[in-house]
Amino acid sequence: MNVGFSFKEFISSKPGLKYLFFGGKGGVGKTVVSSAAACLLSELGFKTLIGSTNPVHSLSSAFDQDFWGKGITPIKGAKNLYALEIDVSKTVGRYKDDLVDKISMFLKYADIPIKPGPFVEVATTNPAFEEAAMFDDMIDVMLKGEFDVYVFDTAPVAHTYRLLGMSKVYEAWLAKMIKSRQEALSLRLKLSFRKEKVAKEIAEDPLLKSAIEMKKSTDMARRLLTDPERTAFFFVTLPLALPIAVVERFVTWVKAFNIPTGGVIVNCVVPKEKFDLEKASPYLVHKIEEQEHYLKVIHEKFPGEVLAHLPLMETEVRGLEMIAHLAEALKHPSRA
Amino acid sequence: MQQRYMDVIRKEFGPLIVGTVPMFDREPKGLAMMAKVAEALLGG
Repeated sequence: MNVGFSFKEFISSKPGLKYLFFGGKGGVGKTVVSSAAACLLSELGFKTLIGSTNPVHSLSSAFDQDFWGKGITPIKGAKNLYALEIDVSKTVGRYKDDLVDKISMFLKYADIPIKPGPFVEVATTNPAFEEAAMFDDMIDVMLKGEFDVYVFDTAPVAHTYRLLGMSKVYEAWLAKMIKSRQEALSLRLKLSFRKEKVAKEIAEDPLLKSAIEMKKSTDMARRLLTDPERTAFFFVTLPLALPIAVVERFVTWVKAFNIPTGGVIVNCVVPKEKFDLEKASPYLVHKIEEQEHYLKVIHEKFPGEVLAHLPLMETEVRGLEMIAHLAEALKHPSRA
Repeated sequence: MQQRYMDVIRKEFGPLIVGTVPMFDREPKGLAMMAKVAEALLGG
């Protein structure tokens, strides 16, 4: 089996790495693994933010400190380490107001005398709306550049898939919006008598302006997310069939969005050397045999990309001390 | 550790608990294993 880099060596091999994402099937330990990675980065001297884009945040529970609704918060007991549980409610509210303005403006231009309320409800009562807000908030945090490194604990696969897909959808949608707006405005100019005044109005068209503005920030986000020097997506799995299958599918999706992949981290590996398997119960022996089989499968499916085997601890990983302990394991290459 | 959390769960959700499924010696995968999970669910 191929023994590759450790997670720490991977980090050292990419001095420009700034944005790290962690994804995987629900329940594999994304929060704990991303927290451990952030902890390691902060220990290495980087000013690090661990941010959660999961609508059901778990960072507060993992660190046993309250981050919810507090914005970027320094983690007690750590140096260089900050946490953020993104709260999209304000952004969603702003989107709604913004939509009311834009739709009203549109209806006014089109001389349609109806209230925008129902349109806004239709447009915003939609699960993708919160994801769009999450994406925007995440990009905002990334672009502010207050940190050396950003680590994101993402939502389970389906959410993240849509989250990552946002930039592509945005791009296509905005390009179309801008084009049709430009066409409409050029027709208006052709048909108008007072060309000078209309031309001036068109130059300041608020709908076009905001669409172009949005396209600019989306392009920027895409550049960041697809830059292999700055961004890497890591996959967390357990040594079991279902989470491995999810990672396989997930890798294909992430690659389809041109998002650079970092590697695979196997969580909750039972340290078999701690047991005398001759004397252990058949139950435990069977569990460990199963684990060894799936570890082999993981290394075969992702040769050279398995960055760590994180041990199943004696107790649940909770609090900075335990997370720091897990971070230690990220320094060692996976045993093949 | 598990026993402690089981106590917490019993205390917090008492009457809402409708079943307890053990961790099997292999990952529940395939119909035969699903039947075992189902049995555990029904057997409470």
